[in-house]
Parts: sequence; structure tokens; C-alpha cells
Amino acid sequence: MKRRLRSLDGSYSCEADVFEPDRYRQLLSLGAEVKMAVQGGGISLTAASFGGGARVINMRRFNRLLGFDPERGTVEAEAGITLGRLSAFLVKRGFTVPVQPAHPQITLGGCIAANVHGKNPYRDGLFGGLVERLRLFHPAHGELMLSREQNGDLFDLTCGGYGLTGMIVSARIRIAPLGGNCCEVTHIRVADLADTFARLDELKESHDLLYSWNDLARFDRHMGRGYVVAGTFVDREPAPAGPRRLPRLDPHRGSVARLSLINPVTLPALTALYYRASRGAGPRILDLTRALFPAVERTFYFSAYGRAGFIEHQILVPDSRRLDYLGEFEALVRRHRQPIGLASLKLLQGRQRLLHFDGSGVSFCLHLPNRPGPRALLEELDALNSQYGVITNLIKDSRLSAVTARHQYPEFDRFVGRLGAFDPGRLFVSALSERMAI
Amino acid sequence: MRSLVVGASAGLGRALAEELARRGHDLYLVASDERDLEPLARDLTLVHGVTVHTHAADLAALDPTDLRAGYDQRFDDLDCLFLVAGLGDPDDSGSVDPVLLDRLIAVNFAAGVRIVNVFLDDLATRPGAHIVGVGSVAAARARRNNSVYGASKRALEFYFEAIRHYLADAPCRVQFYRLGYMATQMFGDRETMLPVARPEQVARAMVDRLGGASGVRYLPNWWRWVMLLIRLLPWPIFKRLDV
Repeated sequence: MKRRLRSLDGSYSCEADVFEPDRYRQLLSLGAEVKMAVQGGGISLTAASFGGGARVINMRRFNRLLGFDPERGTVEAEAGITLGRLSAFLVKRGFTVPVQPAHPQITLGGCIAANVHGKNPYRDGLFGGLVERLRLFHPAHGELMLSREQNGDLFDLTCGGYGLTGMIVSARIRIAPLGGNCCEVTHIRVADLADTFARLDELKESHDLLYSWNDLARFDRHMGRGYVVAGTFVDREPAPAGPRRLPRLDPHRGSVARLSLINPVTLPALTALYYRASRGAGPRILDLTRALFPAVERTFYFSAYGRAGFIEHQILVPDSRRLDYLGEFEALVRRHRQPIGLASLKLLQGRQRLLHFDGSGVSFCLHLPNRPGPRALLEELDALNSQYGVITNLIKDSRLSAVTARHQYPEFDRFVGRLGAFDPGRLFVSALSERMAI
Repeated sequence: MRSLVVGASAGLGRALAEELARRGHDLYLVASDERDLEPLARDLTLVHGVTVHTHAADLAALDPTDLRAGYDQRFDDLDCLFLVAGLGDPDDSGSVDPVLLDRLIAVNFAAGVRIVNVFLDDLATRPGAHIVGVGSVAAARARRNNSVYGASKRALEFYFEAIRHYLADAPCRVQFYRLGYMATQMFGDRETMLPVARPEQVARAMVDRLGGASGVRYLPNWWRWVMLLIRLLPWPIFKRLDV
């Protein structure tokens, strides 16, 4: 069926033929005649699950739990299961998925394909690290079982392969005991971005949730002020209740706001208000849903940038150069005077490989209105990033060029080469892969 | 409670299996492909803690005694029998391919009758037992499209009426639903001005009505008024409609 699909950031839309198989014979008999894109929750910021003229195969009906082993600490499920459903099952049994992005509509397959990170990636690593094995279907190769030991090369390419190796049908992942029935969250005030680095460093080993919110919509001496969100799972009786309804995120309907409510004029006031409203004095107790999925009740936010949408620019600055980078970053932001809608920092720890958003450093996540001014700032940031060995998260930034990505990711061509060797016909594509010339 | 669901792998059948499991029914699920049944059984067992067994068989070639024997091996008594399977085809209009024609009749009508028949005597005397069938608004008034499908579903409804009469004084309830548009693959991406129900909503309504009176109902209920209007349309007008 023909549908108009939009990226969550609102910057890309296209008409696509969408097929929602609901039986294995439909899924496993898909042929190699037309290019395909695999879709899970369909809420990726960039168009990673559609576009490029591909027929979209939506996996949402393949959302069943297949196994749960509390002794080994594993759960197995079909790829279309949402984190919300998986979490609801696991939390009741005292477990959680240690790496979860901010929204419960994201699917297991999407988490693997984008190799996402969670609330404290320094401690918990990336989602790919949880995957023990997965089942992949590619019309030219049939069904394949992948793990580090079996078809390891393809496993490696699929975790963080943006859905380009085929359809992830199911996966078994490691889970962890849940530390409590709710989360104690503290907002620790920080004066600026350098102070944020210091506080994140202090807390990185000890908290289940650790990220910051910083005000980059002002350019005076308070630029970068904000707070670090530090959360720990705790037990409280009775446990606080979660939201009664989980509003559905549906980017494909487009923004209801004709005008951008979040824009360079309103942003300084909005971030100042948010700063005042959120700097609570003492720790707060949050229910698990709100703690694990902080974006769950903020569906309006994503459409408040208006029809043109926004751009999420997430970068990873290497530890060794972060203070030098910060000076230049702040100078650039001050010079452009483009208010940033959301700025959030996290620490990561790992080794950068292939196209994974991984490495040891500090991640900056920035939301900017999709307008010429902010885009000009981002163009200059791209150049700065390339000088400092900074990488940009491909799954987040729908404006990033293939040239910049190739420059930033040392193994870009290695990924393309290995993908081409597995699938010379390059059956699986998306707007993201087309833009990246993969 | 123990329920047998025929056509459980997708759409309404799967939604029904999930709703029944949520309410604690042990399940015997029947569909053509074990690859669909097995993950569903695992999911329902893990999430709801119920016992689920599966039986993979093509309804067009189903041996009802096999089905009965399979059920008896795993469970003692049956409380609810749900016939949900349905098969539609875009080529079901005018002169239909004979193989397709036989298959449409087998899946939509004959298999259902055979399955009810093999469980009927036990269900008839069992307090709290139910036989539940699913038809379609497509069977409410004959039209050029879905001709064999509509006729088969009408025949199934007729058979259910006969069973209801047969069991009029028995404790077993016989319920039949004429379903309106539902967001399943059979409905596909047809454009319609009328609301399209989700299988989960329909399944919930069907399970809510367990224990209710025998009879025929539309689901969603407002379809009764739409179909009343369509049935009352004079032939000279009806024949001009592209339905």
C-alpha cells in the first residue's frame, strides 16, 4: 500500500510502497526483484527505514517473545517487538535491557541495526554488545543464523549495519537484573559545558542514568548552564505509577503545527523556562517508564519545530581533545548566534569501528531548527569536527554528507566493501544509504 | 477455560488468541503454518503463563478426526471453539478459477462445518461451552465481488443457525459475528469512508460476549444499520453500485 512516510526530524518525506507481512511464508518468500528497506517502529530521525525508491517491509507484526532465560539472563524475541513491550515483560520479572534509547516504540531490530546507545553508554556500552545471536533473512541468501562464532563477519556487519544486510527476523540479547522498581533521579546544576564534563566524569561509574541538559540558546556567560541528570534504580513501596496512556509517536502524519513553535525567537525563553522548571532541589522518584523512556510523553516536542522540522546533530568528541574542541565549539556557536533547541551530553567508552557511533569521548546531542542559519552553523561544525577526529552519528543527522561521513569514519570504505561482498546486488537501501552513497 | 482457535496465525485469529490468553484461557491453536504458530504459542506462554498447543494443517485438506485426536491428546475438555479462518481473493468475481473456487468453499465453509461437527456432541452438553463463528458483512447481501467468499460465509452462517436451533435447549451457546471492515491483510489497503476496526478491538468484543446469548451480531455493532440500509436498497439502485 502506498503511504507517505516522514523522518522523525521532519526533514525528509517520500511516498513509498509499504508491505506489512504477518506470516512467515510472506516474509520468507520475498524475492530480490525490487529494492527493499526494512522498517521497525518507523520513528528514526533520519529516513533509515524508507526512501531510495525502496519497497518498505514493515516488521511490526513480527513482535513475539520467543524465549526468556532468567538464569542465563537472556531474552529472545522477533525483531518487530518494541522496547515498550519487551520492557513491560522484563520489568515484571525483575529484569531490564541495559541499553535502551529514549522512546518505547523503537523496535529490537531497529536497536540492533542502528547499534544504539542508552542512558549511560560509558558504563553499558552499545546495544550491539548485548546481542548474542540473531536470525537474518536475505532473499539471495535465505535465512542465516548469526553470532560472534557463526557467520561472525556478517554478524559484525549487521549490528550497526543500518538494515542494509537484510531483515533481522529475531534476536537473542543479554538482559540485566533491574536494580529497583523505580528510579531516583537527581538534577545536579552545572555552570557550563566544561563543568558538565567534570560532573559526568565524577558520576560515570555510579549511575544507571547519566546525561545532561544544557542551555545553548543563550550566548552570554551562562551559555551551557544546565544540569546533569543522574539516576539510580531503587526500591520504593509503593512503586510510583507510570503514565496511564502512552501517546503514540507518528511522524508520518507530519507536523500539526504550521508555524514552528520552537524557533530562534522563542528558544531563549523556552530554554530559560525549562531550566527554571527542571532544576529541582532534591532527588525525585520517577516510575520506570518515565525513567527508561524519557521521550515517552514528549511527542509534541518533535512536531513543535513546524513543517520544516529540526536537525539532530550528535557527535562524539575524543576524550584526548575535548577541552580544545570545546573552546572552538563555543566560539563557533557564539559567532553564529543560532539558538540550539536541545543540548545533551553523555560519556561513551569503546572503540570506533565500521560505522558505529562508538569510541571513548563525550557525545554532544544538539537539536536545531531546520533553517538556513542553523544549517550554516552545522556546515562549519562539520569542518571543525573533521579536524578534531570527531564522528557524527549517521542515524541522527539527516543533513550529513557522504564526503563528511567518509572523512570522519576511518572504516567507512571497509564497511561498504564488506557489504558489497555479501550483497553485490545491494538489495537493501534507504534514504540514509543513498545519501551516504553506501 | 480451554479454547480452540481455528485460523490463529494472523489477523483476528491471532488477536483472539492473545485476548483469550490474557484472560487465562489455555489454547489449542490451528493454522496452516507451524512457523507462525510456534512463535505465537511461545509468546502467549511466556507473557500470560497459559498452556498453548498448536496444530498446523491446511484447512482445505484438514482431517477433522486428526484435529480432534490431537486436541484430545493434549487437553481433556473443550470449552470454546472459535472458527475465525477466512480466505478472500481479488479474483473472486464472475467466473472463478475452479481450484480457487474449491479452496474458497473449503476454507470458508466446509472446514468450519467439519470441525464443529467433530466437537459438537461434547460441546452440546458442556455447561459454559461456546461455539463461535465468524462471517462477514460481505455475506449480508450478494454482490458481484467476493461472490464465492460471500456465499461460503453465508452458508457458514446458515449452518450456525441450524446448530443454534439444534442446541436451543442445551447449555452450549452458539454465537456468530458478521464482521465489518477490519485492518487485516484480507482487507488490504482499500480506501473506504467507513471506519476500519482493529482486530484487537473486535477480539476483545468477542471475548467480552462469552457467556452472552446465542445469536448473530454485527461487529462493530453500528454495521447493523449500514447493512440494513444496503439490504433495503431496491434492486434497480443496488445493481448500479460498484460494491
